[in-house]
Amino acid sequence: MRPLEPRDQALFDRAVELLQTPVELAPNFERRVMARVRMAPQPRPRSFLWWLTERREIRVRVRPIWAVAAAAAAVLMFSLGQFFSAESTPGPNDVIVTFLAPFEDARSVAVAGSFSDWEPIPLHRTSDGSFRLQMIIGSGVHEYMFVIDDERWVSDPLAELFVDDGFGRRNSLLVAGEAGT
Amino acid sequence: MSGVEDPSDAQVVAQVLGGDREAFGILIRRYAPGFSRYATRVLGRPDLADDVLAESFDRAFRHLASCRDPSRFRTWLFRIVVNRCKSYLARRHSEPVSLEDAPPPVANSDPGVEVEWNEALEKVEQALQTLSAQRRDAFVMKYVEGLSYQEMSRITGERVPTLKMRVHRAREALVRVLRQQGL
Repeated sequence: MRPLEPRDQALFDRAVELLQTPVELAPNFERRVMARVRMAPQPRPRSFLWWLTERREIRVRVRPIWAVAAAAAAVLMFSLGQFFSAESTPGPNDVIVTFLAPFEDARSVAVAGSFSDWEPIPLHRTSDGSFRLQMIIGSGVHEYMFVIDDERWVSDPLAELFVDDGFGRRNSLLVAGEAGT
Repeated sequence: MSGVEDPSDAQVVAQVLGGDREAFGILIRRYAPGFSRYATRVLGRPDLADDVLAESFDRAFRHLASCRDPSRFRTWLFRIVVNRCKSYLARRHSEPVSLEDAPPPVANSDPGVEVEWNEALEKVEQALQTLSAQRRDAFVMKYVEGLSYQEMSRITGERVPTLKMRVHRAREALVRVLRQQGL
């Protein structure tokens, strides 16, 4: 990293020293957390079967040529798979939902909500210019918003239910499956 | 002197998973004070940091069985705290603000700290809030919490070069703002 000018370095060092000031917790912090802990279900050690089926992120770095070859193989497998009846289906508590975003002028649209830990998931552009995504989520009530061009967060104009997010904006509400059961 | 050693993180985790949920208090007392500073610097307010930290510990308890290596509990918990802070900032749709628009942060009101120190800290806190959430997060981990880039990569899942670039840009931007403030 390029060194700073001496005056800037002194300024920077002073700033870091200040930011390293310890911050005390509220006096009742432990009591608050333990109150929640006592109400929560008892966590139990998981079985090997649970470990096998747990969702986890896997990152793979590949050369582009391999990605093209893998895509071609996937198309071939899909075509062959038309002869077989095995299709993945949602679990008993999962629901297939479709997000439609009519933002034809946008470069990109993503959806972020309680079902994705508010991480944006990209939608795909359709032939009529709008954006679409079909995905499986757990049944229940979910809040979500669309993210336009990676920067603008907007409510779903096609949603029928909204909720105040507590910060002056409205989250769209999605009731998937039979909420509460 | 009792001669009794503090139980290791792995021992406490095993105790909690065995049914002794009160033992989780040991982990709260052990780690919450250290994460309080990180959360306050990233979120800009100690009251918000408290809420997000409480949520993080609650989440850690509920998912304790998924802590695959309890001897690295601190790293696992730090990852939860980082993600909770990120999630909060994403829900707030927060973007970096200009110095003029940055809200005055709530200073640490420890009466033992000099007034001048508190005023200077407020200015630096305001300057920190002008950085984007990603750069602020990387900067705080690196320079305030003193983590190595490898540790930061393990916690955030980001590549080391990406983190280095964010820290570098954060440092440059922060110095520019501090010069403006005349600190």
